[in-house]
Amino acid sequence: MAGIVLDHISKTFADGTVAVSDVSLAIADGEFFILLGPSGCGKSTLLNMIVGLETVSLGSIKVDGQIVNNVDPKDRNMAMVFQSYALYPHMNVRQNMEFPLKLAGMEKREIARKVHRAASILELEDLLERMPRALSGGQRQRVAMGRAIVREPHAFLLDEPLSNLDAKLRFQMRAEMKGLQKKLGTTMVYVTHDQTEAMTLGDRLVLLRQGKIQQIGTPRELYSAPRNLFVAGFIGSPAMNFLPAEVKDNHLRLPMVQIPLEQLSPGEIKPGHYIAGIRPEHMYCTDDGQRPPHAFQVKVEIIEWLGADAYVHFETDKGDWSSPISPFPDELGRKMTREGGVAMTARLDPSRKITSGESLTLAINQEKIHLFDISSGLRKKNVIKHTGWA
Amino acid sequence: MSGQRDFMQKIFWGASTLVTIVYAIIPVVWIISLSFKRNVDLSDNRFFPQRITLENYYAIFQDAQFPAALYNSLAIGLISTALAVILATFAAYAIVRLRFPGKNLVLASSLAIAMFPPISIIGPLFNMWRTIGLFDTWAGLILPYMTLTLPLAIWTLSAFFREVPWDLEKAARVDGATPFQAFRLVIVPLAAPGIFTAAILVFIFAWNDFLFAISLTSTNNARTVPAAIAFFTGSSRFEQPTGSIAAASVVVTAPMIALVLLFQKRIVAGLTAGAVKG
Repeated sequence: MAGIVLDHISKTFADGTVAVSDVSLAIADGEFFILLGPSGCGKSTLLNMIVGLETVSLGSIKVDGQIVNNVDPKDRNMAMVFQSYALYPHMNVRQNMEFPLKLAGMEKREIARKVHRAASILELEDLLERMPRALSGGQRQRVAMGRAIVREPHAFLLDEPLSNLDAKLRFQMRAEMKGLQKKLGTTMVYVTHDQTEAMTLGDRLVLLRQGKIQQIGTPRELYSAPRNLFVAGFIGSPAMNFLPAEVKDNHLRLPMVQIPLEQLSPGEIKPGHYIAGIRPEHMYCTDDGQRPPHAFQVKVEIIEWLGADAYVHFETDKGDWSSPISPFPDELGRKMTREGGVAMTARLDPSRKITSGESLTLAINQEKIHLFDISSGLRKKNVIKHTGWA
Repeated sequence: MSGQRDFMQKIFWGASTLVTIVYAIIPVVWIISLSFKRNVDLSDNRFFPQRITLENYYAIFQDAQFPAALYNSLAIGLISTALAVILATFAAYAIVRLRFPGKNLVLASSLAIAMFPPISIIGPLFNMWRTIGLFDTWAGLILPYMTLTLPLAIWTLSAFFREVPWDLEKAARVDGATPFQAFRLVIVPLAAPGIFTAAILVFIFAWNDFLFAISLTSTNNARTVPAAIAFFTGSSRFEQPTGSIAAASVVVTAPMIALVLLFQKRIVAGLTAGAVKG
């Protein structure tokens, strides 16, 4: 078991692409740590560098205080689970699990004992003589885990291990993975692009974008205090709504509503243009009787009813002013219509019957509004030292 | 309606298969039939022998040169195959997995060698081998066989190596294997069908070659079967050696057919099933 420290790590490939730039983070011993980011953000490269399959261009990787930059992968005593599982197809399950132990030159009886133990933890006893091609996806995944835990390594590195499973199995394996890590207490570094997986599994996570760290923290921190627009838009499902906003005359002006600033969370917010972020779950539907101030009318375009949730898609009015950020940058993932309205999603109480085309009165949970700087993308309030979001 | 079309299709496929098989098999059957004929019956204008006899087979094995040639053929073929396949395995792996300058040059030049008409190098080779003492030796044949089959083996094997998921090699490295262990324990077993294919192709080339064998040998020291057959004589100057030639041809063809039938399954099996998701 080991703590892993990345100290100003960069990776530049031979063709000049910068996959990872200046990443520093510390993974504690026994921690379930997630590397999260969209595809091509460098998270897999980072993992490969930790395990030694990729060389480090700049910076150093320390495992338990020892710099391992030049240590061969076979000597790092880390186990890796691949997205493709990478089971050796010419060996049966037992031979697959024995393979790392045999290479380590372990005694036969010891090997048998360890394989038996790992197999019983993962309930693989009945499959030991099967070939990988005769296993289902979930079983293959389990064997890959078995091959990893049988060695009792310093750390587990998992590269999108669940992405080849169907949704139901993924849900089940997610829970098992969490339980397994708790039971073994081994440091686990887990790569995923799925923010749900990251939020549910990780003790802490790092969100990467184009090789740069966007934010490190617990899932709760990333959700409730996203450092910048990218984090805000990436974490949470459905994604956060972004709106052009202006602070003027002590009011926060959104396209569809104006909110007096006293009612907004306190803090020094200078007059000017911003991007406002509102999560779908921070809007609610008000009945005509108890209409709060600053409620606004919308026309429902599409309703997605999921039983436990109802997602309502609508478009805001243009508002009677113009924002310098029109149209929105693509990265926000929200489009402005030609008329200046913005597409939004609200997550509403599913018990209320809503039909498309219907007119609804919505209100915003005002303490939950985030404001972002339009040039740096950083969130106002708790502004952290930054490298810029673009 | 569809029943009738199915029937027509069956007829069509059945007939085409039959034609193909007959076309392919008649020369073989003819040679076999000749090999079992008595010498006096050779020109009796019958397809099948009137009486089956093994006298041609006795004859070729009693002649000293045929068993010697068979031994030469087998040894030269096997050694060439082993060398070519081992070299090609390394070369193909390097070409597929490693990045090095001149990689495409290696591939291109190996293809160029494969295009080379062997007849054009026979003359120079004859003179060189005479000078450096490789004429009429095993090495004198093994060298050209190996060289000329390497391109084919490299191309075949690199196709197979490309199929092996790279993740498997990474997994082996993380599991504690040295690069060579990963290659030997994981990559090579998975490319085994390719290695068999390459080996069979190389062996068939060496086994069947006539051009080099006839030009670069002069005695039983290194003469292989195809060359030796050309030196068969009848038992008297008035007799054609047709029967012996037929018998010798059957003897050299049989192992080839056996080899292909034996390994066909391995080649087709495709060991990589189940390696990655699916």
